[in-house]
Amino acid sequence: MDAFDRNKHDQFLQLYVENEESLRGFVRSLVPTLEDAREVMQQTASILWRKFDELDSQENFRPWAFGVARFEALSFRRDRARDRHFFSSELMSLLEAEAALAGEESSNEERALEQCLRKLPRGQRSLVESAYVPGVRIDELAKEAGRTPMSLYKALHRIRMALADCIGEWLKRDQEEGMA
Amino acid sequence: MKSSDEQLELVARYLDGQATPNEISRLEALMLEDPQLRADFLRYARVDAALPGATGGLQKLVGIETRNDPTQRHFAWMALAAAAVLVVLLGVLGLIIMHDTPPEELSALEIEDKGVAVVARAVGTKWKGASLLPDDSVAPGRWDLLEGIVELEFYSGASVILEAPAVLEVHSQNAGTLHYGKLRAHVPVQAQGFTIRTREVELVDLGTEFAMEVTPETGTAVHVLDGKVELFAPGQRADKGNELTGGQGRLVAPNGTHSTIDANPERFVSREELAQRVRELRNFTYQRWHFASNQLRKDPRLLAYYNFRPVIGSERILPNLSQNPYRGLDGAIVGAEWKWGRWRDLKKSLDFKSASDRVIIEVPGSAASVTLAVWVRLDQLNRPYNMLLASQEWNRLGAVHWRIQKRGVLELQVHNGLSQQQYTSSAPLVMQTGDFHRWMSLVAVYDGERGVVSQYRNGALLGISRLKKVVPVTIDTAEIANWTGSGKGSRQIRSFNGRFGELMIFDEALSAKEISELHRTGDKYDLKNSDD
Repeated sequence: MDAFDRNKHDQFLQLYVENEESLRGFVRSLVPTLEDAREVMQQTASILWRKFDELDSQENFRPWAFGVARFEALSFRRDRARDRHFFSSELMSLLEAEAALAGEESSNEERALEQCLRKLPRGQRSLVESAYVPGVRIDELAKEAGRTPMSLYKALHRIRMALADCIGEWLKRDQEEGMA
Repeated sequence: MKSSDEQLELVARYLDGQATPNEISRLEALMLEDPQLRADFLRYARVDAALPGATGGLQKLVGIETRNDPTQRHFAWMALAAAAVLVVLLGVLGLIIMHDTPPEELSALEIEDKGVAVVARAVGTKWKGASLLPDDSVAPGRWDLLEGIVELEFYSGASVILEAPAVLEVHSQNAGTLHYGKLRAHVPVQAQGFTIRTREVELVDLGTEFAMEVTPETGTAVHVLDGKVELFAPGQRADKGNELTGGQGRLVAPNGTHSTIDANPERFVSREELAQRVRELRNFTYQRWHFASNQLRKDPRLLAYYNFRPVIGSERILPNLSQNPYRGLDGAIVGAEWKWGRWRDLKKSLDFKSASDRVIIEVPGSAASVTLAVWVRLDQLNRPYNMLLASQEWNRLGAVHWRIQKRGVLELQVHNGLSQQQYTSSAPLVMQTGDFHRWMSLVAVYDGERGVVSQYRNGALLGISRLKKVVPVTIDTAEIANWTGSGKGSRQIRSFNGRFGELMIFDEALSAKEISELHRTGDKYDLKNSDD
């Protein structure tokens, strides 16, 4: 076994972790629910790991990974969700290309998101925490909280918008500080 | 976000799974035209996708299954999710969750046994599709043996030795179909009526021993080695059968014609031969490990190395074999007893059974990265937390706890001053019935340089998680297979139930390839050399 081979396996971890965040976002954009995204993501990760040996060069990891993710999302929609409506493959390819490009900016988003979550008012924060537990159902959560599902979806939308804006601000500031 | 409110609401409805088919088509049409909307859509999706990891404290981990059974795949994930729901619900209700106290036990490991047989012995086996190891239970279905020899013990009491290449379809605890290849069956009184079908015949055993060989060209050859069997045409059990006794044989051609042959036991591997092959395999894999172990001792990255062989006259000491001369690394054995190990009588192991059993070691210094590797035989998961290795003093930076949670999670904790959720790296560890009492290797790599923890089972990756905060690891005085803390609420029993055969502590992050090699040289089932 040569040194190249040894490195190859080791590098998977690094490459995967580097690209995980944007890959997850991309997968999320292709399937209708977070649960679906989790499943497709797990399948994708598993395939990337198994087929990593076949990848000829590290530079190709990112486009390759996005391709695998798109393919997995497609087969998910074929196997699991025949009756549901999805985007056309034309739009999916566009999103794939653009998601793969957006990598640079998205790599710091996770750190920013943590900062931004801390700034949320307590009530919003606990709502988002309850709503994003894997497997939780919004209609049940709404019932417990004595609200309508619609009002909960709207509240979550406002929170995500606020978080997205906050992340944008944070990244801009981070970049400016980096340049100063 | 520069897109209009109305567009962004549509995006939200889509991502929440609330959009109607019409709305999805409209969103699609808008996005095809508008790059700004696509960029905002992707940004919004990234926030949505990152939130479960950022809020619940659930690690973003890559769950990669190590076994072939797809029904088991989501198992550990479900458990994680259920635990998280519980934690959040408790939080919402305003209950105080005590530090380091687990939520109500989730019985992730109480898997029902769908098997009708168990793998008793195996030599050099390779399977197509799902594979079987000794002690695995065998569910009804088609089992395609490509290489090697395997002995299945049916729950009825009948035992079958199958020689590759062979395809056996298991129907129930007393019946199967041999599609191809050779088998030799032992049928005790209790299992009389044990039935093997082929394309040409249906054989019902009336006591003791027979063998069969099936090929598409010649059909089915039946050899009655001892006792009596009855042969029927397939599906014709109502008719009078054809009785054969010890020494007799029949060849039934694909066209259904019968001819008489002599029973020939030499053509089929017997139980005694199989036992001999098992012993040879054990010797071979043991020698390979022994050689590798002696090489490993010279590795300068080894802080501590225990191969769990007692020194005569000092049986209560667990000797450290690494190049590090520090005396504290020699372990003091408390309670645990020496028992047979991975290669039965060829190598000992330490058996931890009582709640007080442990080994105390003292590991000097700090390291930016560490790799912990063990060979263990887990006999039971009877505690919420089952310790592999734990720093005695926990409330300090760099202290290490490595443990198995009962609900099927392998956890590495390196205290970094943050909350429990933020210093725990988890990976799903699914234990199937056959996995208990079976030797497995577990590895945790704390890579301080990259800020990543990865964990492995039997050389294969279980999960990766990112560290929230990186600190150097300082193991210091630690317990193997147990932990008794001194603080409030730490009197809970956390002892490991099973055996330790090897423990390595490296002061560097080992590569995935090295970990898979480490596994292979210690694997008693794997016949192949690590060089091929």
